[in-house]
Amino acid sequence: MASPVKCGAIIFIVTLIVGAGMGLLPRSEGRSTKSQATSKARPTGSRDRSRENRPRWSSEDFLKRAQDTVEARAHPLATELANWTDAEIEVALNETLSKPEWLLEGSPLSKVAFELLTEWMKRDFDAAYAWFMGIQGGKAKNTLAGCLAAHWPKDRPAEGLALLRIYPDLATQFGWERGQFSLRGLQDVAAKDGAMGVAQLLREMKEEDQLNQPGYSEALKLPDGFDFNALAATDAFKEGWGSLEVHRLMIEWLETDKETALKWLLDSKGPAGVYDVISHGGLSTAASYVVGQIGTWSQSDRSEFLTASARKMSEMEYYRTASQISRWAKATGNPVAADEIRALGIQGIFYGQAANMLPLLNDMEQERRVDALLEATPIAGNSGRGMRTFTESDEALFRKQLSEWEVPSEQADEIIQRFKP
Amino acid sequence: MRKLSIYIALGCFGFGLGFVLTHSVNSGLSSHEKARELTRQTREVARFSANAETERKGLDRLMRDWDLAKKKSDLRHELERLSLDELRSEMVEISKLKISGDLQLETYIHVMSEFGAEFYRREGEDALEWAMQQDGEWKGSYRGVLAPVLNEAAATSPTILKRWLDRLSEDVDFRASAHQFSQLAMDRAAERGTDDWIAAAKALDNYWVAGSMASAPFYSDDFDFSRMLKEVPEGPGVGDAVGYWAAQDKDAAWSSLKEFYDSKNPDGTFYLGALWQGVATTTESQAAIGWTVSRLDLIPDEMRDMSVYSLIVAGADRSEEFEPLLKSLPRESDRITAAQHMLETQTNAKQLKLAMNSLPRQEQMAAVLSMAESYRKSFQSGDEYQAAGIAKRLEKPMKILELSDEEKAQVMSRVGDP
Repeated sequence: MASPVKCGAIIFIVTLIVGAGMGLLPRSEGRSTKSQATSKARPTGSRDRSRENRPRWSSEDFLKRAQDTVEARAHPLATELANWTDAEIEVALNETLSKPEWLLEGSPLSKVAFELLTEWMKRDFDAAYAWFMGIQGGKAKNTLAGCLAAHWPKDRPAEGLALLRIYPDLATQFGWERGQFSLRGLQDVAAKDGAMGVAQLLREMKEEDQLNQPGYSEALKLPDGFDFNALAATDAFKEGWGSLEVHRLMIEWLETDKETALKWLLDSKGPAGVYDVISHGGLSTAASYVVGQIGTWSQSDRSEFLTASARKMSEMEYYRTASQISRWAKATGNPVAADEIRALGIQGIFYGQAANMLPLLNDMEQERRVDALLEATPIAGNSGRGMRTFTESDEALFRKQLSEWEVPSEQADEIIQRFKP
Repeated sequence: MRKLSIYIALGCFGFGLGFVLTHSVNSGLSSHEKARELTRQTREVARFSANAETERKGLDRLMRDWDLAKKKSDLRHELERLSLDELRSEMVEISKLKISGDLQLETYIHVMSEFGAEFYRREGEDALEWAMQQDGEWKGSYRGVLAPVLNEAAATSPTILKRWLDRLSEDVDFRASAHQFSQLAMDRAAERGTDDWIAAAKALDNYWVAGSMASAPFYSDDFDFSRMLKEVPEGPGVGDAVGYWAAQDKDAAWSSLKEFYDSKNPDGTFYLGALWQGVATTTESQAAIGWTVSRLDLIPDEMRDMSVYSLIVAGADRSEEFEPLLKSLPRESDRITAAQHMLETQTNAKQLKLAMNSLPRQEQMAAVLSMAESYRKSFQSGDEYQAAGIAKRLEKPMKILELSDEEKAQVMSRVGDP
């Protein structure tokens, strides 16, 4: 039998070891070792185990969650701000104004201020707008003007346009919102004062240098029986050619009375003017109709249209125009005209777009394709913009493609030579 | 019984001692460090509690919520469960969905950026190599999977980004978007601090310079703008950063800028406008103009015109301040230079007219004549298109100044036959 001292020592040592073991327990649960960090799927507890045993996510699961996140992130403060009073919002907005972060592009401060003003505009537009007009000009006001423009009430179009004409800085020079202000105002005038009212507005905006650059725009709702013929006869319509406003009106005319509109277009602007109408936005019904007619034109008219298109596309270095050319070609309904349009892609190769344009040429008839390549000369724009490039990789790609088209090597050399600047 | 009590006491002591010893070793902290940690945690709790009170419905709370909402990764845990092969095949599948047009762009960008980030974290440059091989259905289709992986490389390593941008330089479409990657790299480097930002600016060199002029949206708290200005004086976005600095400490910003002027180094001469923008953010308008304009007399004469010009560039989005600015310029030559550049800006015509009307007629005429002269020097090609372009450019200023036919003829004669 052990002595009491020995027994005591044994108990002490055993409990010391047990205690030490317990002391180490939090470590294994709270901190992962390197091997645990690298083998991330290894479960450590029963809850984790059940979580790790469930099926892994599919593409649909990821996309569903991503979509939810994108929606939540569009207005991440919406829930929070719903509990704020207008006065609390105003205090926070005022607090933003003296922050230097306005000077940093895309700073979180400007995003938060955007959210605040958006919420206030939704609740009490007049109060939010009065606050905006009262703040000092500068970066903050300039940035928040975009917010005002983006959330301008749809039922106050004329007021919006009138305001923009007094304070052009409300929307950035080339911003999408600027065009929306303008078009909504135009629509409002059309409903109240008809074609002559629209002409008057176009004239005033032209004088004030307020007409916008063409680009994508939403459809206009014009009153039934709107007199496009009368509008087109005015100097204001002719002088506003090339602007977003007149472009949109032209598209609406084509949608309403395509034959008369196209006749006016060809009579007054010629085939070259067609590019201005179909080059912006997607291929609407109106634009599809116009492109569909190209196949019925005379060779010289088609040539005029194609040269004008090539000139303008070269100024943009054929940047992202391959899909546009492809859409036009498909819409012509005439194989010869379609190949002539696809040959615009050959022009794109002069401007460093071989990789994008060569697939377009795949659809051309072989003889027409080789002839077009052998005769290709660059068509440049008038503005001096657009830089020709033809790199070694363009050449390698082009040669490979010519070989696939079974172009004899002598002709291939001749073709390649034409594209070198 | 007494013996049992002693055994129990010994047992408890042993257990306690063993637990305390190993637990303190486990925490890896000395008693001093532990005490400090405890104090820190106590302070943190106190600060958090105080914040919870003071930040109730305040801007700070919104800023914190915004940051949390934007930075939280919602897919990462699930992505970590995927094997490498699964990760790759899902990326390809999702990129095909985008091509088919069945996917909202924002959703696509979000999900692919999370995939790209996870893939790059695991595989580094091997992930980029794999993406380059995904040229399936048409030339250039690899871009859909490469871009999100390259984004993560940009966010973490500007030197790796540079290597890949060099490699991709032959791809025209990719080249067009190179500045987006370099801007991201610069933004993230700015968050990490001055050393990283300067290293990134030097590594990315021409890619960054050729890109946008945006500053970073956020700079680390201890960012050294003085070093930024000295080491990368002409970088895009540096002007905005100088403005941001001036808004916080205008005297420090001016002191740093003045070194350029004193050493007649032209690199920094364009930043007086940035200084004005910064000061105007935190100071009342007229006081900001007064403070900035008073710097002009501290600038060497040969750098003065360029500095006045920088004020007009910076003021393009605050055209209502053109008039007080013109009035505050001390020399006639300053006002003529300023008026000339104001007439060249695409700014609010009404504000411009108001500003011009504050000048005597001879200064207005001197400004527009100087403008015509500079066009004549710039466009000497004799090209008909350019001649028409000059006439068109002069139309608006002549209209704003309401020149008589005689005055118009005088201006056009200055252009001559281009």
